[in-house]
Amino acid sequence: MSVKIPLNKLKKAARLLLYKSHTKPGIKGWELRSQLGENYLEVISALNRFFKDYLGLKIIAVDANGNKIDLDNCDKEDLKKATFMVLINQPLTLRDFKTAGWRINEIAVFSVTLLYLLSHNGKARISDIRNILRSKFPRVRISYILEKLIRMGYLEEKDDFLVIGWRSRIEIDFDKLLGAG
Amino acid sequence: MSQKKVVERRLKELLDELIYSIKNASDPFKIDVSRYINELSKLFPHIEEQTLELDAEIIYELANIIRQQEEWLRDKSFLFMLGSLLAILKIKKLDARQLAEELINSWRPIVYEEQITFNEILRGVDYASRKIPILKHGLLEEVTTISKDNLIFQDFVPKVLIDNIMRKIKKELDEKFKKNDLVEYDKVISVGSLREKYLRALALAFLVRRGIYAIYYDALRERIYIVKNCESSEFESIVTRVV
Repeated sequence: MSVKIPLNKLKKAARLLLYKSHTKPGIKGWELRSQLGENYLEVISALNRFFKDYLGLKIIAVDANGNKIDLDNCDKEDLKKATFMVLINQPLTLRDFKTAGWRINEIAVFSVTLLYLLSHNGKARISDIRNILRSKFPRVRISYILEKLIRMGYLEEKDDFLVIGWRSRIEIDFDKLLGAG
Repeated sequence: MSQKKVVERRLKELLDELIYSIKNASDPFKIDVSRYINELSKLFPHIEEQTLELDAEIIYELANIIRQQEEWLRDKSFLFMLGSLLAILKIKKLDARQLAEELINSWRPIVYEEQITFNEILRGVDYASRKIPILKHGLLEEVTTISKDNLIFQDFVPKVLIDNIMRKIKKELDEKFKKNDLVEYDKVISVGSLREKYLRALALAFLVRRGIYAIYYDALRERIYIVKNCESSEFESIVTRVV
């Protein structure tokens, strides 16, 4: 069923979703509801169609653990607590990432760290990861890159362990990375 | 509307919703089976013989989903085991570029716009104007990055002098890199008067921005090092040349 959504509501929804107002990107469902009204999910759905069809972007909702919530099949109460954000919805090239300020070595270090973590149920000793990385990359930049990934939320440090961060869980398709997707 | 009709309508809605979910869910765990069962258990005392068929149909669909969940788990557990082996193989066999490409194929970054308040901009400009005298003249008119030519044009530093210092530092560093891979930043900068230290830091910054050297911060030792940018490494993407 298609619902007509006023253009100003779509603009407002786009602004709320894209304009970072917290330390982490995204906006909570209850904030969207208070700004856009009771039918905020219809507004989000209409904006999502526009994003997908014309801009190659998509809107997702994630729970507190970073797990994606299926917008078409979920409890509306869960969505109030969920965080809504916008992802790029098309394949990117190495050049795109370089333009965005990433170096090949940084992405490769990230790739090895994630692969290693995924093969160890998402958690591994930092010293083990450093040893693996040292066997593949110049030693001097490893600490810097790991810190950058932790700072950006792609990895999390818990005592002597590294775990997969909230941002990786949202942005990266682990099945595809493992070759199982 | 009678209670019988209300129950019948709700059962029909549940069945439609369930069939829609089955068609659209990419994996069976995305369907909240317990929610449907809870709702059915609430409706059950009010179900009459005529609507029992709808109830049975919903239970049949739910049983199908549970069977799919079991199959899904069996397949996935095999894939997870295979995935772990593939992960280790990839780490061992692929080079840096291939590893990077593997990751970007499965990476869809978040899109968002950073924001900064006007007060924060003012505070930044104020701080910069106290640190760099040339900004004082143009405060709030135009804030731009400072190139070597800007500095020379503003009589901030003579061209010959900065060129000489850059050559001198490059020569010193090339000598040091023959012995070590890392050169401590402080030791390169802390030479002579305060003005000389400042000029050496500036000259080194230009060399780094040209991609000849890179700055490496060792967080564990809290020290800053200069490292040589090897030929295969990339230049920083934000600055491609110093004019």
